Amino acid sequence: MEKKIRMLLTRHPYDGHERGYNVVATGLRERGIEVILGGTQLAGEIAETAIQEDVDFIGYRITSGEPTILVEILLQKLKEKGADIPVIVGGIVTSKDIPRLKSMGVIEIFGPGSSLDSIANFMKNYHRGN
Amino acid sequence: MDKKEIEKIKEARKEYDELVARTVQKTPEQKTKYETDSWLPVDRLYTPADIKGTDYLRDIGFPGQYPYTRGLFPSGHRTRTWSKRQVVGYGTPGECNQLWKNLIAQGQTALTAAFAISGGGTKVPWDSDEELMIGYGMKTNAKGDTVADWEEVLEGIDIDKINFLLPVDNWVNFAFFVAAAEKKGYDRRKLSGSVSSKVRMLLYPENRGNPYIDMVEFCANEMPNWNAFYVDARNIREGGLTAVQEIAWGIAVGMDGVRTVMERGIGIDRFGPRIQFYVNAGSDFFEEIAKFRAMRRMWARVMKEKFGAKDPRSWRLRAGVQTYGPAMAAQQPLNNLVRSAFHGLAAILGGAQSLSIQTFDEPLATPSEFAQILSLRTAQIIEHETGVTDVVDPLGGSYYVEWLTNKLEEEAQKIIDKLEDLGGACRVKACSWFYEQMKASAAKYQREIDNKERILVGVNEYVMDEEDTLATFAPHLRKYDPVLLQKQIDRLNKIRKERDNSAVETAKKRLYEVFKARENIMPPLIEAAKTYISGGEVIKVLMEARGKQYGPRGGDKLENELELALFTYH
Repeated sequence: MEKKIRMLLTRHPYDGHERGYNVVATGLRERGIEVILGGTQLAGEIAETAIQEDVDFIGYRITSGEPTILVEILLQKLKEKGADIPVIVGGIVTSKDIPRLKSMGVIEIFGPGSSLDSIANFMKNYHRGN
Repeated sequence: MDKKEIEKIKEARKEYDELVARTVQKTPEQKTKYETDSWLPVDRLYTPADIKGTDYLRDIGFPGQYPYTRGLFPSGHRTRTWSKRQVVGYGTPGECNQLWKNLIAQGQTALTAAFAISGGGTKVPWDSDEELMIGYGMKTNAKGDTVADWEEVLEGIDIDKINFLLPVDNWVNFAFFVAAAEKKGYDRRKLSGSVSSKVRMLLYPENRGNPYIDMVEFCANEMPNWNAFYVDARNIREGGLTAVQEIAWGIAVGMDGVRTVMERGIGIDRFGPRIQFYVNAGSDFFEEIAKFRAMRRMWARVMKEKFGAKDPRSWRLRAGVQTYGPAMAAQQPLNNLVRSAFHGLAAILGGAQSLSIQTFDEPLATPSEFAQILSLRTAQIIEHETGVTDVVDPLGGSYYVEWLTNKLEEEAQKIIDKLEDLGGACRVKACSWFYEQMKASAAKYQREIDNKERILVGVNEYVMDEEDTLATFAPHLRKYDPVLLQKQIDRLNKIRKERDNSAVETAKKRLYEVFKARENIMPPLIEAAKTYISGGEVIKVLMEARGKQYGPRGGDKLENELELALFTYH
């Protein structure tokens, strides 16, 4: 049997809103992805959990923070710990920031209105490709 | 209506139903099933037969009279218009102060202060030089560190004329607010407002030493116009609850809280009149209106019959409303102006005491001043132009609204009973159960959107290419500015250096003793605040006194997550 894709879904402690986070967790699980809930975590904690849990993806949910700064810190922490885990960002990202996040190494960004199917399919295709 | 008349109506209804059957056969109805947003099936028509068990005087009655189904005040909004209370704040204390003054000048009569000593989704105060602030600080709600920030943000505002709501659930922030007001020469007894507070918190399992109950006790003694017992059903609603679940959570949390405060030996009528509810107003127009009516009736009965409150003011559920955030779509954002006007109208027809209307730009960024004024104008248009406040509870007596009021009460009661069986709403067991209910509702709602069983205009239907729309609003949207955060850190460091540090040390010692003895922390905390101690320093003293590790989030992981999930905003 094919091993299930594992994802750490996480958000920053300052980012209180969690409805989208819960909906995505439930939706991805229904689509056969194993979701590890990180809850609220700072970048260092995210990197540590991702390594410990040996996940295939990190899903970083950002709504009210500044995505470029938060992602930069997370990628830095992952690099320090020698982890090469692809990061997906979900939440509020302006169209201007999307290319910036991609050039930093984020593999995909899902904004408001993204269907759960589109997120799950993207992950499955990406995983197959690697 | 007597039984005979009801029978006649039922008989006549058969004929109507046959007529409907014939019509529908020729022209089918638009949808295959009709439900409220709480997934309660609704009939196409309601008649007196649907409310035949309702006793007018017992269950509906008059406005200003028990059980307050028709509203809290005899003359409704004619004598007491609702407070226009936008949730406002961003940036540095100085910027935030300017924003508040601008909105007050435009007719805002009360303030929900999106300014606090802590911020975002955390409940525990921490200082601006913590890692937590990077990427957030000064972009979202305005955050201060010491009383100096509160003094600046209140500069030039008549604190005793504006009713404040301190929405960030935080006892340190409350003490800092009171200290700043007193430093400005105001008498704490004259201050009016509310502080978001959960009297039974998972993080403070014991009664003595629970700072939230300290606030209730302190206000009962020293701040007669301040609501320190605050039941928040509104924010958790945004996590995905239905209106039914929102009612249940509000009433059940209120009940658990009342028991907790009474356990401390504070008589129910000493704090009952100062219990404040925070309620949402969402998209299903009639369900939202019925929700307010049902909640008032339920709470009046709980307070009078279950807890034996004698003071009629203790029976009244006062509802502060902030309309429904999740309905605000990032796509075609101007549509949100239309949506939130309906939400606000439902709150007013439901008899709300205060109202904050979500801004159209809420899904894109921290609300701009431009959008805040449009929300304020929406409330003013409801008040002055629609005529809906001329008659008290104008929808009372509608067969549908009365039936729905009964139905919501009945359904919510089942959930309340379950929460009570699990030991009370604010206990870990009940919270864990309820959290799963909330997530299930949110997931079901999303599935309906994905399947287009539920149409959201501009989101899953009537979609258009709108890059230009977003570009139009971009200049109004708030951006993150690392310089502002650095300024706040510099300001904090300057205060730390220039304040009387021996006074701060003395205050810390006193706080440590009081935390350790589990006495009421409020009086010494207000005094400590005046030395310009920072919020983070207060928490460090608390953690030390309780033998816990300091961290900006504090507490046990599971409890902390539940606490965040159920007691903060979504």
